[in-house]
Amino acid sequence: MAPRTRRQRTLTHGLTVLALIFGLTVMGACAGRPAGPDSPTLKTLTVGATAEPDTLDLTTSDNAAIPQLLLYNVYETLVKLDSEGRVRPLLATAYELSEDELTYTFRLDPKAHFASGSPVDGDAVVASLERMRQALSATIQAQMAVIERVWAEDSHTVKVELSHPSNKWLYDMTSTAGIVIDPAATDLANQPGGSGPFQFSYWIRGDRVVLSRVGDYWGTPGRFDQVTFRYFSEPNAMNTAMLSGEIDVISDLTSPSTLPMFADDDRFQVLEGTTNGEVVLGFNHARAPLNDLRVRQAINYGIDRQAIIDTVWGGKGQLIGSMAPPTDPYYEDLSQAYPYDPERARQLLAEAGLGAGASLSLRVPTLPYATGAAQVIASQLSQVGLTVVVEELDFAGRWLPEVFLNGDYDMTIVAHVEARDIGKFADASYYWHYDDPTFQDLIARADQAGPSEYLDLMRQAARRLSEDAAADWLFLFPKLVVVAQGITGVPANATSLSFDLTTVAARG
Amino acid sequence: MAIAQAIARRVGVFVLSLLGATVVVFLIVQALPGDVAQATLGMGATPEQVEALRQRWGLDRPALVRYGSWLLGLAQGDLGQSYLTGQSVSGQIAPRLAVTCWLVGLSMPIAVLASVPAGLAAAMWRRRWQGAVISSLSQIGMAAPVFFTGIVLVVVFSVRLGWLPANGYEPLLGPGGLDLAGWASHLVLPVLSLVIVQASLLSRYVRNGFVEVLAEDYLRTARAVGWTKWRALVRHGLRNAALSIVTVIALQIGAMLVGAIIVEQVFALPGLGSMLLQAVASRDLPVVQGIAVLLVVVVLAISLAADLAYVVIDPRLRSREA
Repeated sequence: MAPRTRRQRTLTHGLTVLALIFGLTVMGACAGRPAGPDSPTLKTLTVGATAEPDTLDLTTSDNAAIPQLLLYNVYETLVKLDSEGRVRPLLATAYELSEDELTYTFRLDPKAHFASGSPVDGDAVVASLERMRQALSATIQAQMAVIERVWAEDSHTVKVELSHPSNKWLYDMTSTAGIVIDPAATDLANQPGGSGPFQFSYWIRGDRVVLSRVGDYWGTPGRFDQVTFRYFSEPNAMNTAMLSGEIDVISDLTSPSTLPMFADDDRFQVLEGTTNGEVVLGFNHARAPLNDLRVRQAINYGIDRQAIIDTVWGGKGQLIGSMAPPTDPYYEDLSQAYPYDPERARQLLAEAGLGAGASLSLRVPTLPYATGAAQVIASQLSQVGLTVVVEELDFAGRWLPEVFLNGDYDMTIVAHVEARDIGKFADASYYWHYDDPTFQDLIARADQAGPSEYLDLMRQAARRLSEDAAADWLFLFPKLVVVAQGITGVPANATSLSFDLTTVAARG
Repeated sequence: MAIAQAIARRVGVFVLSLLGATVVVFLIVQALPGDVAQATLGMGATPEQVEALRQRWGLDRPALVRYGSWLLGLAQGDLGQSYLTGQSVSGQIAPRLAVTCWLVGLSMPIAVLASVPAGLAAAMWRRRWQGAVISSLSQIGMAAPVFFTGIVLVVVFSVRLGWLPANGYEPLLGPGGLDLAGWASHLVLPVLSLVIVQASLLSRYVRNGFVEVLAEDYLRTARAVGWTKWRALVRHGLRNAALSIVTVIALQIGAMLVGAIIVEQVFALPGLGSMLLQAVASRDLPVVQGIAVLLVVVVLAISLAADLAYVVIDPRLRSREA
């Protein structure tokens, strides 16, 4: 036997250390607690979501992931939208509109206070509204532009004077623009401060944000000690987390084809509701032949929208027919304005002088709904004599600069997810270049009209879009929520940007 | 003296490669289509707002100036600030890097430890059925894409058996203090999926290394003086086979970092890979550049380390150097 050399010993030693690390890891893993967010002492809820916020400051970013997490949960507004789309009191117990429809008076709930303990009084609300008027977010700034001045009449009364009557403003106040921020909160990007039933606890970037219950909340207390929002960029990862019981809710199922694995399982319930996401086949009105009403109508007749929902979105989704979802108060069903009728489409094209056919570009962003629908549309329109050239473009890299900014397209498909965004069609510089004085006039009058007249004018506006075939509204995104059995109160319809925890509870 | 010169030469090559890499990274990132400011502000922004943001980020300066100021920052260890969050890039990378380091740092040694005995056994029994079984298993492990292996593991161990979490991450030192169990349980499946692929690949190199050694004269001599076949193989074979294995490991760490990006997606781990994908999608260029440079440094450092490892393993190289 040869004696062991020093080097050999070092090698053996090293291998032993490595083996130890390996063993410890395996042991640590086996000793690991069973999968699942529940622990006996804390009442917790874990919500799976798709997009992680990049900052928690609602005033600087329009990222929908921020209000999903914070609106109504951490921050509260003066007035709130309920799941039927009606304006309800929240921090304000009541509000009044003056005779000339220019001045709103909000009466604050004297009980209301921030998580920090300081009261939600007139001064705090005024400071918050002023903060919003200076907001970096382009959307919020535009929404608040109508404000003439804001002042506190006393510690529980706030008045807001507008430069012209506006129905939209009160609606906007139910969302991010209307949140009341704790004047003491300075680092909103990392430490939001509001008056809601939950407060920000911590954030592991790339993984989750954790909220905790406010102990002395002024209203009905939150029903969970801790709520975790976990973020998944990969839908399959969220599905497996749900199947293995690590999350309690899939807040938005973005792959409808995977729905059956939850629908057929007793451990889960699937909620189907509506969203504000209209999937729009947009026409470039600045270009021939789409500036011709007959061609636009022909395309509307030539597309079988139900077939698109069935092929692209697992049969889930709703036909709408104009830029208004069923949760808008002025909604009416216009989905049958252009029933699938290839014969009528060919006839209209012939009338427009395109009897011999034409070639149109369909330039879509590489998003699942858009590329899927584009293929079906190209095939359907070829039946009526239109050659559709489909091109798929990276959203940020090519779609935004080429289609959205330069208008280099005939047709495109994008989902418009903002609430009550029908007014986009009134902006002739927007990428559709839809320039219709009748429609623009209806929208302008509606915003300044009294409540009942408002609904009537908005209905006319939505109808005008349909008659003018300003676009082809392919379908409305469904809201597919998967909830573990025993969790109640998750709203089916997404009328606001918030994942509203205030109604959610766990049985038992 | 000769050693000092050799080291100086290698460090010089390291620095020059790094400098070249910064140019390439900068150019590629600049060539990403689309305007950063527009991508950030989205469809609701006015052209004036987009222009204002471009100015705030200094994007209106010439490319050479931007490269210069970035390089100057790099030299001082400053990776710049994220467009989206306004936070320092290095501060944002650090917690993500920790996740990826655990992933790769645990997977590679385990893969090596598993592949050596497997490769040795496959070489010894290469004419018997046991050898064929090991070879076939390693073929399958190599052929299966890492995301597929990952999904199969999740379905079996999380969804069906419920033994381990399906995905997510728990920092070793989290908000609730030290959490060894939570941390380890979240890493088992991701590490295992990387190990399966890497160990399969490495075991084939190990097997070939040993098969070559088996035919060498010195092995026959060792057997002739009375050593057992196993003992001779471990004593002489391991060291000789190690040379080629170290080369492969150095190359594979690069591949593993790429594999980690996919594994991080499958297991929703907040590592460098998922951060890079997110940053590219949102055109957060300082973050993209920062991660790319970091990866380049890691790969270059590993190849430097591999060069040095040859010298340690092989005395013949050492005598030639001296």
